[in-house]
Amino acid sequence: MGTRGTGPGHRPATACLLAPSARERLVAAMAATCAEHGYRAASVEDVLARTGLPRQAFDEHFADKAECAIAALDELLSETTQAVSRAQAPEFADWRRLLLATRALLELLAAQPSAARLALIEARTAMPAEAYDRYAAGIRVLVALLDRVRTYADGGAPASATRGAIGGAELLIRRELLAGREDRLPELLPDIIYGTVVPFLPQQEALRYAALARELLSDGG
Amino acid sequence: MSTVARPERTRLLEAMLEELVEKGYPAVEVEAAVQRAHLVAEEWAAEFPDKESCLVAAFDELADQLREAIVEGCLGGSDWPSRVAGGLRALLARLAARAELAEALARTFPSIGPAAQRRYQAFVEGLAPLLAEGREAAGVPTSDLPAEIEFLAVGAAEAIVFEQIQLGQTADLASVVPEVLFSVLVPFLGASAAAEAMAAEKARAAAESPS
Repeated sequence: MGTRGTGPGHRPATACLLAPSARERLVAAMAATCAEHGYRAASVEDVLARTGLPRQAFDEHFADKAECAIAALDELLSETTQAVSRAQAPEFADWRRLLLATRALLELLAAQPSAARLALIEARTAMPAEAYDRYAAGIRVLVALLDRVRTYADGGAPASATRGAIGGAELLIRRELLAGREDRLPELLPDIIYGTVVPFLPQQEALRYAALARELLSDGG
Repeated sequence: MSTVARPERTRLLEAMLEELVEKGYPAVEVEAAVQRAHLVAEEWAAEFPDKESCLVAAFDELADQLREAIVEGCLGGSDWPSRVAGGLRALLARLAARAELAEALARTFPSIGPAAQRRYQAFVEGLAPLLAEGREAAGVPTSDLPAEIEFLAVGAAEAIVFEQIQLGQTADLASVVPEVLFSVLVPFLGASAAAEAMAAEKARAAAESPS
């Protein structure tokens, strides 16, 4: 895979005319094309047809299909990290940080279903190894978030419990994305909160956090 | 419904998945799988008109076999956690013994495209009803449990197993049975009871170890 368009100092000849809007449109169109046809069947021509941009515009920003698709993953990963970071305000208790970060993540995925499909489905199996690295990096962000809860655990949970807890949430999210029900993702918050804390806290406490998540959903707070 | 003898059909379908893993989707061909399975090409020409139908049949056959292995593995236990442990042991032993089929199931087949991804997702989701008994075994009233609890448990197991396969550690899957058991049980039973079951499974594995 090439490196065009990704270096910090990179400025294509027509950047002043096309960037950033052309690049953003190409990245968004690549995510949408992959969501519709799958990464393997998606083509640069499909992407250009969606954007109405000429091939030259694509070539100025990306070396190939993979680079463009990975740029879409990088954008979602960056937004995920920002969404989680915004919920880490020091005045919040750990449980509230987890609730707010999870809600922000579900809302982000609901707002960008094509990128979410690319990250949670295509990057897992269908894309080049660099894409799996991005997927794994996203999981590490969530593992770090959950490890705060883990500090309250009594030590009974195995090392893989954090990965398992995130996997439970992933299965639900993938189900909704594959069914085209991304608008329902935020409604999963109470069950996902329960699933992510129950390996580390007493079960009644996990149920209480699920109830708090329901309250958060109902009052929009 | 196939009219061809089942053992030969199974051989062909397994060969098709092996071809898929070795060569990748664009290069895989039914003819090569027929040769690999030591079958007569003419007898199979009408069975699968194209490689897509053969791959789908191969995935479905494998998924059915694994589901049957899980159900059978669940029969022996005296209580719900030990039945779940039996199902996991059966599943992970089957995957560990045939690493190429595990790779096909979780990685190569879903990579084909959206329809294949939906099929893999349906297979994983289809395991959730097998855990419904866990609601009765839970330490809290059934009505308090999350609606999606079976999916949380199945998704946890899938993530841990997928990661092992991704890391090329499929042959060692049997060693993670206790950890996977914890993650499957914990949404229903809570951390303490799940940790007890995990410890019991570790002790069982140690007792059965040849050394």
